Amino acid sequence: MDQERSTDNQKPPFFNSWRPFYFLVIGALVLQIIVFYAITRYFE
Amino acid sequence: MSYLDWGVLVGTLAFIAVYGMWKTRGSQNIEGYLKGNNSEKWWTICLSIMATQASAITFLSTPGQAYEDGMRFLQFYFGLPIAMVIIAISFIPIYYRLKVYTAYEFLESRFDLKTRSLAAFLFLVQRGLAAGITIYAPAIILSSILGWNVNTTSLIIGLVVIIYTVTGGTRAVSVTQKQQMAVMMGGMIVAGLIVINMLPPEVSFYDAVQVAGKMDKLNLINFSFDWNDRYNVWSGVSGGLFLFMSYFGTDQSQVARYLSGKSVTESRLGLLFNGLLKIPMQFIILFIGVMVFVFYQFVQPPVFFNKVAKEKLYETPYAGNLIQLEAEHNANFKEKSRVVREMLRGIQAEDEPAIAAARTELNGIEAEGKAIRTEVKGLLQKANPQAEVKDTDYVFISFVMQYMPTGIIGLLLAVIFCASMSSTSSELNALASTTVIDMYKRSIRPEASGAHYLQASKLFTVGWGMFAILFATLASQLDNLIQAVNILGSLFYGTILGIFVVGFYLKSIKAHAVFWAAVLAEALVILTYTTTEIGFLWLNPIGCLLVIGLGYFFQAVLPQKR
Repeated sequence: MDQERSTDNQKPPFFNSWRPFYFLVIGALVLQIIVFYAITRYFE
Repeated sequence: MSYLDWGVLVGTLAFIAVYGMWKTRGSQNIEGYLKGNNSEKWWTICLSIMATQASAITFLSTPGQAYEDGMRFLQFYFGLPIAMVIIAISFIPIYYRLKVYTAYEFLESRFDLKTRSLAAFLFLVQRGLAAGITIYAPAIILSSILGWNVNTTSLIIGLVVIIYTVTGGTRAVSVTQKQQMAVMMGGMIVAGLIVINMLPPEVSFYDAVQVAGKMDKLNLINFSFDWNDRYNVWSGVSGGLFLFMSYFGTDQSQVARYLSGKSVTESRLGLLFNGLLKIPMQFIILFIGVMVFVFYQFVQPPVFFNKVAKEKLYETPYAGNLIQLEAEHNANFKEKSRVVREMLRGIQAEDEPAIAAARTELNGIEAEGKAIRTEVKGLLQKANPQAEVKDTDYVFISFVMQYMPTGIIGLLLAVIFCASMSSTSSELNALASTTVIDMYKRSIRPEASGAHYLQASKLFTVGWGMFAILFATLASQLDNLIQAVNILGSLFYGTILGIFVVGFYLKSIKAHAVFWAAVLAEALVILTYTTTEIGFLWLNPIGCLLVIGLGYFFQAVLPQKR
């Protein structure tokens, strides 16, 4: 089974490398903070 | 509760347990039992990780917290996506390369046996106690609502989990968690839609959100830094980052979830999607709590949400005081509801002075309402000094039992049972694998066959399950136990994370130095907790940084082994 397991060289879906995927996750966090801040200010 | 609700509850739980056993039937080996033969795809891993983290308290407490305190608790999770990225980059490839069963095996290959055993021991102590609380915490609330004996509820949750976890091992945990997660999220979304639908006809969804905002419940973001404020952006990102790196990177109950992945890619995707989905999920749960709050601005809420505790108070000499306080509470509600409706008319007419006047008036009325509730809690404590006076955990479940339609009540109780069972099954599986791999196989019986270790894993799963149930039944005799165990987690997590951070990133620090650094850091963390007022979330970064700092120190001063 272990021979079948891939190494960390595999690419993620939709991207050519992992780096854009990591930026996607961090970018989503930043975007959510901005949206939540806007909600907080708009409805207060 | 109606027969339909019982049918939905029992049917859902029985289906998941039987499905888990059926799906994982057949012969097994130790690799399959503890690592699921590395066959899981990323979505299973993602759901499994989320289900492990989401305990019953998540669904009971979180809406209540939003009801009381607004949505600021969401900031607690801001460190989680960053932690997911760091673990995906650093931790996963190393765990895969070393083909480990548990996270602590890595520590022996990087340091030595004593460091591995220390980390495994700290995990077993902390997680072993936490498993009991994962069962006990919802059992105490559900037993109060359903009128069951608390020990019976603990026993039911514990035994069902033991049966399918022992039968199918880690694969059964993952398989059942997919179903449990579907029930949990499906149930909560249905609950949210029903709450919104139950608002008075003159209150639109947008009006409800406006009312919540004007009453300070949409306080999602706070950029002000305060050491004593647990929930702001800075404590969420920094304290949360350390906590979640430790929890997801070094706690075997989570590590086992992504080590069951088919490849590094599947494990990474599972964690990264957790980083994408966790905050929206918590947002939904908190938002449901806010909508319950808005609902109770138009419909009379109880003066105390724990109905059983309140009814017990009626049987004491304080009944007269309670009746009087309830009358005051009712009058306070009528006044508040009148002003909220005035504010709503101001919102609909975009009349800012009217809104501002209503808000000022509401502040006074809410302060009065709070004082009345505090007096009720005081009465409860006078009648019984051991009584639990915090009713936040009962806000959502009492709303469900009183206002949700037949069938949905059963579904939402299934949500809470599922959440408890999904966390407990991961914990039992992780406790058994750590006991077998890091203790039994490594130090007690190193030369036995695979079949022997498989049998031992099953026995240890049963053993830890029984320990958790026993602890849950004894828990009622101890005060503030839930908080104690939460603090216990933070006391150990920082040190364990520190050992792993040194192992992954600081190659110049060797085994002897990191071991003594960890021992001293743990003592200092306990000392900090006992002698200062610092919030326990900060103990995570403190413990981690102490291990790193002391590791450098001991590396410089201790005699080096060849």
